[in-house]
Amino acid sequence: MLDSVTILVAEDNLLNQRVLKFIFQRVNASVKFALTGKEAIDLLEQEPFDIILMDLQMPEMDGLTATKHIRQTMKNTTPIVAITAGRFADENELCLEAGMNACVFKPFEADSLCALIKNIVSNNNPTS
Amino acid sequence: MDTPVLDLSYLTSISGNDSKYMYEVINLFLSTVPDGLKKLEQLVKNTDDFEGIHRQAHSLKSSFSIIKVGDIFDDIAAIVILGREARGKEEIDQRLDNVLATFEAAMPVITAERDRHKARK
Repeated sequence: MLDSVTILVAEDNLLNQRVLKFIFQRVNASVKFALTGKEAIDLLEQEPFDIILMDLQMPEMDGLTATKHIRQTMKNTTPIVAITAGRFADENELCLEAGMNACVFKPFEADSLCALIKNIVSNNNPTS
Repeated sequence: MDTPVLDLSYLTSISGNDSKYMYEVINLFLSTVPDGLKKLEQLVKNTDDFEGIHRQAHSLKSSFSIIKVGDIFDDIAAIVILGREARGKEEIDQRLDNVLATFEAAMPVITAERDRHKARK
């Protein structure tokens, strides 16, 4: 379903990392993990990804700050989806303001998460 | 209906009850969450660091949304909100006591479930 799609996941919770790894292995996506927003930026500077899943709350650099850096300083337009355990009313708005494309909530529902990624990646790269 | 001591329905649903995967995730849960709870306890009992309490509870909330243990998720979610709003220290303290007691009581069940999947993997 996500054959050859490259995904960068910025997530400091190891359990969530393991869940996402399992979900993406089953759909043949290629995934790399970062534990902080800073690590995600470093990885993105080294190689391109089709999509980034960005946790909002991480040590060293949070997801909103990392996203603003990716958009404003790096001028990088890779789609970014926020992944969050919070459900605060202002969260979705803050994500979009920072330059994210969408927001999904933990725990992840595998089919809908993969469908969302497929949709965003297809729209961002119509030839894929 | 009473809340189950341990609810692995989310893991079961995404893994198709794959014992190798279930063992791995439960083992990871057992190797990370007790330390996370100790950090939260230290922050709640010894400081007024609401931001730290919010961050630590938020991290634990993710883990308890994957593996549900009694009513811990609800208590942790409430602590996240109170920490974020920097209020309700007494309620945070009471909810944390519930979390710690529930987790301690559930440990043998969680460990047994991990070992059951280890034997099947």
